[in-house]
Amino acid sequence: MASDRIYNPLPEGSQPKYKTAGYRRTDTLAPGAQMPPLRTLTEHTGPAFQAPPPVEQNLVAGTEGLAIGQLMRLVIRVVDEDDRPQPGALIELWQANASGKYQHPVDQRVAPIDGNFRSWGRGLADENGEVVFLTIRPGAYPVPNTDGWWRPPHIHISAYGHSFVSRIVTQVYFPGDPLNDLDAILQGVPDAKARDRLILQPDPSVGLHEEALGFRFDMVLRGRAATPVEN
Amino acid sequence: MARIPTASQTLGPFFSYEFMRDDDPVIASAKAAGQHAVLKGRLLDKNGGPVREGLIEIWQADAEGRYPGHDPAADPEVRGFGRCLTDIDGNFAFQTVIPGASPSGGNSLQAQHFAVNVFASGLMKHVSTRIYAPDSDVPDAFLDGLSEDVQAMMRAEASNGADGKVVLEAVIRLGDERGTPSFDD
Repeated sequence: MASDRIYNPLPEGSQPKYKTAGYRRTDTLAPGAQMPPLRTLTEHTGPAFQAPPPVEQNLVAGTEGLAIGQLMRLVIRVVDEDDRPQPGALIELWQANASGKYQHPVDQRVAPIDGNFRSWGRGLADENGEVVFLTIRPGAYPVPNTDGWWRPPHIHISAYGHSFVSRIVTQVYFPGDPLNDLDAILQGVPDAKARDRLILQPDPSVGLHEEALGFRFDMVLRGRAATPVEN
Repeated sequence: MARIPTASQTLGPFFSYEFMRDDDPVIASAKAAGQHAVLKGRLLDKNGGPVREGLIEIWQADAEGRYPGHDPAADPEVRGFGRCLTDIDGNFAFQTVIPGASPSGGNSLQAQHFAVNVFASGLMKHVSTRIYAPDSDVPDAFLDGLSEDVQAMMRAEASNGADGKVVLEAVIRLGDERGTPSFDD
């Protein structure tokens, strides 16, 4: 029965606070009165998705050739709190191009545009919980109306898992980038280990030989997706 | 091995329009059973200003309180899920049916409701709340325990719309102690 699922309390500091130092906009959006979470059938069920075409997992194959930038293959493994793979989880991913420019009307910054790069991708986790994207390492970009804040290279990842309560949107970063320590959004996660888990793991074995770097990321969804026993 | 859930990060302002399909805000098709409704509202910040490029997500039961993918008898015309990016004025709108009272997972029922997740640039993690259908007369252990003020904030307001539809309207107000109540985790 869905209500038998157990949710461990989240470890202190493993999630960001709504109000984050150095990120002014958080002050205007942090919610007011908060109540303990509900854990009913509503939260323990959720939508199922159809597999998008595989072409959406290749962001670099433009009509005029390959996208510009450091090619990389990213293997995202989606698991629950018991480390069980989550086949069928929908992953959506979006990022800037190699010069830190998004293909998005809200991005008004003057920066080089790459017509061969598509700044978004989408895929469904396979039986091992894995989704693979071929993309490029994005560039850094400045946050408008701030005192010199540049976002470190990062990739946005959204996941729909086994239930509505497992929903998450996050961002992943590159190991050793000097901007990581200065970024209010990454540093908004209080616990250093929790921040480390947002850093991509280099893994040449998932790259393409002499062609693309390989990186791995484990996306751990809230909750345990024990096979529900219908009553 | 127990794993710790991944930390959230803000949606940012650049969630691609390419992700949005025309039927994303359609939770129930025109053929679904039940009272058809437009569920709409605005996403507002601390100062009452609109929040644009926010992502509003809804999960709900069908008109008989059955969840798609869980109850084999659930109405196939009800997807149960919808999402909508807020426009420049913070507006969102969904096409749906009013959900029925749904099981809590235990022995009791829950008052008719929509589960809501809100994402936006500047929200470090999403906000989870509920919108309750008006005129719900189902005893509900959670809802009935809230003050009348809070209940009122969590209930949509109903009016008559076109084509026999009901219009359910709800404001989601963030950044304010007296704003929309939400669930912590």
